[in-house]
Amino acid sequence: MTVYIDTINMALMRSLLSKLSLIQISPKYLRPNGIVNSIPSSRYILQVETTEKCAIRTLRSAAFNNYEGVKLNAAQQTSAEPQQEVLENQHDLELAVTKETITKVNNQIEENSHGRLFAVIHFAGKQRRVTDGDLIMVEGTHPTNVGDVIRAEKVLLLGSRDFTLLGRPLLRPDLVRVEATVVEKSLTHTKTIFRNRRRKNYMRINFCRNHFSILRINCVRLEGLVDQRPEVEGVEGRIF
Amino acid sequence: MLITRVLFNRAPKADNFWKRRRVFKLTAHYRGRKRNCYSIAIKYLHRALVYVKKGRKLKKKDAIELWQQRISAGCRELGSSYEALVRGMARCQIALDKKTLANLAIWEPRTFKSLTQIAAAKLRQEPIKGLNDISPPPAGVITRGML
Repeated sequence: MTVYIDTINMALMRSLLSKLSLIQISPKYLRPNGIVNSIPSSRYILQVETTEKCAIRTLRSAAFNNYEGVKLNAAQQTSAEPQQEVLENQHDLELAVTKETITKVNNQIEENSHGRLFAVIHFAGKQRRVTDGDLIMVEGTHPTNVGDVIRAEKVLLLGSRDFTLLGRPLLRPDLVRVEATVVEKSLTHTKTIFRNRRRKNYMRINFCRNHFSILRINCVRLEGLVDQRPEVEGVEGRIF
Repeated sequence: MLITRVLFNRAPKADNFWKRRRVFKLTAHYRGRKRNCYSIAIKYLHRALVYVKKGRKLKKKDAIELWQQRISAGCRELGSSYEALVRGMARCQIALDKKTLANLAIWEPRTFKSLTQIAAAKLRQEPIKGLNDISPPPAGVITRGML
């Protein structure tokens, strides 16, 4: 019985050859297939002539396990015609969909019909999900005074009902604007720090009050259009 | 009057009532003799105060664990896994932390779904050994080679 095995995967071919060598069958020949494919890997044809049952069993199982183009008892070799499939140009299709999506988003931005926006900002060491009117508590001393208006510059994500903009890792400052006002600056409630080692006559008590600030988010808004980057970036607010 | 003699007097003993009152105010919600008997109450109060201190660290640890559970649950609903999401996102340079991801998983399901799809698309391009591909490739994800 003659078996032709035509496959890309060299690892599988090698395992098959090792199995055959264990049962002392040497293939008639192993040669690269004359078919040139666009995929940069080689196709090999293995021809085995045998009547041994164990060899036939091995080859049959190989045929059913992910080998391509296996033909048992073939009178001739596997077809010399290239097995090609015609693919549509995915790139153009994807580009069309992308442009349509971006146009829809930009229309919503221009008409201001996106509704309430939420943003994920990185502020004072923590990420916070904010919208207009939210109150944020920032623990620790912050170099601001009550009544100061702050701009949160590190915006990681901006979302609305219909679209989300993800920064990698941050969004452009000329695209998103998140502003907050400091509303209150005070001390936290008294926290008790009590250390006790039982039966060892060791007992300590300390009290701690930390500073905190409360900020009110005034606005989360989009200031620019998506996919329209200015020619020169990183120049805003700089003094030359 | 001889002042030296007066100065040799030791300080008067403090009134125990006020010291014990400080303790009983904190143990008012305990059960039985722990509430009203000083020598029993003080032991339980000391333990409670130490738990207050330890609890501050545990609260943070528990919160992280809870967020991870919630993200994992959200991912599994969408056919992904926590590891796939986090590792895929890291490779795309999206730096959202667990607290935010858990929040999005609950309150912004569409955003969360798009995050899982981006991570899956990235892992399809650059597969990680050991992370099995559970689900079929996400449809409608256009990367334009930017991932």
